[in-house]
Amino acid sequence: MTTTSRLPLLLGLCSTLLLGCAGEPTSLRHVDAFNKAPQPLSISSSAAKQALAQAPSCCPSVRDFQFTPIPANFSGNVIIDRTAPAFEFDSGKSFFRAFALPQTSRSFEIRLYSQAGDTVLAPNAMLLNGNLQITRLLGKDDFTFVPAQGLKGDSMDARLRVDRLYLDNAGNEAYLVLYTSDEQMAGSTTIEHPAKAYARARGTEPPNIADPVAQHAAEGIIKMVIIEDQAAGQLANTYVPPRSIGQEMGNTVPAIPAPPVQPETKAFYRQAIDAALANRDLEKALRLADEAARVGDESAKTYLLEKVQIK
Amino acid sequence: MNTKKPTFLLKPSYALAAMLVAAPALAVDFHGYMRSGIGATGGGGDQACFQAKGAGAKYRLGNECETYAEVGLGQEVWKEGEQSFYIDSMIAYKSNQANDWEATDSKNANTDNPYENGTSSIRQFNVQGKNVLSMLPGATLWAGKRYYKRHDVHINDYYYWDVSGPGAGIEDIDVGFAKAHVAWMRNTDGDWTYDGAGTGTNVANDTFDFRLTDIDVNTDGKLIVGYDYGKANLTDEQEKDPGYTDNKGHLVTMEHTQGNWFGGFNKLAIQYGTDGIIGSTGRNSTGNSDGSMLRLVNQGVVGLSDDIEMMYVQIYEDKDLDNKQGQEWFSFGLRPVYKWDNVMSTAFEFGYDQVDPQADGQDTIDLKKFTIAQQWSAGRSFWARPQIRVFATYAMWDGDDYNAASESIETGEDDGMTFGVQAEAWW
Repeated sequence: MTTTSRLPLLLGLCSTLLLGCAGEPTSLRHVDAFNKAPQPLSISSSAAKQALAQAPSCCPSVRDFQFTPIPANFSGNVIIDRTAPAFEFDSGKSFFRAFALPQTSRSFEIRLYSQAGDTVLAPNAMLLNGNLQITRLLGKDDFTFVPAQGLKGDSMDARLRVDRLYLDNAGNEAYLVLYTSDEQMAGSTTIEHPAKAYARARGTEPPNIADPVAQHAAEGIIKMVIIEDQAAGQLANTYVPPRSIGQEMGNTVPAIPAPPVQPETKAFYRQAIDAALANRDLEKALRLADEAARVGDESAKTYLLEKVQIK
Repeated sequence: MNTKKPTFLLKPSYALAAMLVAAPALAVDFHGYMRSGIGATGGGGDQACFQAKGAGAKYRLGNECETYAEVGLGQEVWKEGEQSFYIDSMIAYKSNQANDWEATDSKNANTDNPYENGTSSIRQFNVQGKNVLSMLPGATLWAGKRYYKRHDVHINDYYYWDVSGPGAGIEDIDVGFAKAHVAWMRNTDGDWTYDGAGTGTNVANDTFDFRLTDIDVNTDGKLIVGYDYGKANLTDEQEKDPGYTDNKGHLVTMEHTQGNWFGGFNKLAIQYGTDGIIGSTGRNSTGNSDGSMLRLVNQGVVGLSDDIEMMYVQIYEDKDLDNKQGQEWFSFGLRPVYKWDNVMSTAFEFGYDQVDPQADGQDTIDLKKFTIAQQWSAGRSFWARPQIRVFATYAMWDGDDYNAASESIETGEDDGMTFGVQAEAWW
């Protein structure tokens, strides 16, 4: 059996329907009560645990994850279950989903709602920069239970902002991994009884009864909504101080790789270097080699050095 | 099996298009309620709603003829350590559900004009200061108009303990075995209460409300004990008027809540009230005759299976008045809901009301109401809303005694059928 990604298909469907997968108008996305939440997965937490134990580790390292690109108007449900890849994270083995975040959008907010029923996947989130270095790890303290309201279901929620003030900032966070951890799976979450939610909404006295408890499980469903800053609503550019990624210690800044040089360009620089050498204009030949390096042809310099034999 | 390729289910979310609300600033609690829809009566005419004459409530599924909405905004405006201030507000709107334009012009409210039958009301505006009284840690000092610890039965929209209104009080006082709450509430009788030769002025009433809640009595069982003292607060002018009597009354309430009860809960309330407070909900009224009232309200929601939830209620109320205008009211209702899946369910509601007037020679009247509704809701619970329901309702009564229908059905008829579509939401 092959599990193929339905994402491109669904995205295609959405665009043919001229709806966009965003569904709701962007302004309403800000009101949780108007955001329809999916049903929590109905699974047994012990079966999920067993499935996780049996699942093979997908990859040798995070570097080898398959990151699914998501658009800046993304709104959808991320199902983390036994069909998801598994990986041995430092915090424990877990199923996960990995995403490549929009790179050229405005700054945006990611809202995560892990749906709670009899069980809930208490999420962890990992953010990585373009060089796949971890920038942030979110866990127990970051995901908190928020009771159902309107169309929003009971869920463990977190909101995080991803900065895109400087698109060429190599430290920008580029990847998101959603998973859970041994620490999270050990816990449980108390859910507000729906009769109490009714009482709260109607201003009546809630019945004094015990609330149901959702066991934390290895599988779950997380609604993820990305809210891109709007042009009119964007905060004026604030200064984000440059953050060291450890250049001093020898870490390299992950440069955005230049597009490959066209063979015509390569040939042009080599011809020009040949012409300069024929004219015995070594300085011009060096400048041409530098220029070729700047457009991405590092081999021009070697070519020049091979031509200039030290006698 | 290729485990590297993730599978996704993308469901487009949808919004309540009818609610055009700008995105509120962060941390504002937006809460509210609405019901609205359209219906008709079999045989012609607008949807009729059926209620037994003299009954304190009617069973509501497929039996609500008006649009009613509440919009509330609240926000914690200040917090320092454990101390905080919260501002709450709520505005309600009601109309006959007859036209697009139903103005909330209070001059014409409740008239027959189908364009001006709306009303609106400022029902809540209050401030709650938590932990601001240093001698009462954990307690909240509050003042303003407020829904104050109202107790209701959902399926017949019956409020049996409700002293809401303008007021002030301290709640959640920790007394060890219980939490104590004290409040001073106001309600006012209009000048129509007294139509003698006197002053014809409004009469202000005070209710002093004392409650002990969260008393542990048994496993998963909690007790509330409440006492309300209501009295008219007469001006000098009213005091001198022999037409006004300083009516007052007492109401004692005991309510037991049982959790872990057949997959749900049960609430049993017993109330005994006297004289001025024999209204319906615990407020004093100067127009009341002396007498006494005993009321039992037993209700609950139970899970009969994974797919069936049911709410039930039994009410017995005996108003024994000195002027013989009292009555006995007996009510019984059931609403089982069968869930086909996470969104669709079928609900059935049966409601029975019987009213036996205290005066000699008056007939006992009754009403039976049956409703079947196909429902689509955001979630599986009995309480899941928003919900859209397509319903058909049939009611039977004795047309020789009274007409149970609000409209569209001729006096003397013994039964009526209605159908329609209604939306209900709370958030």
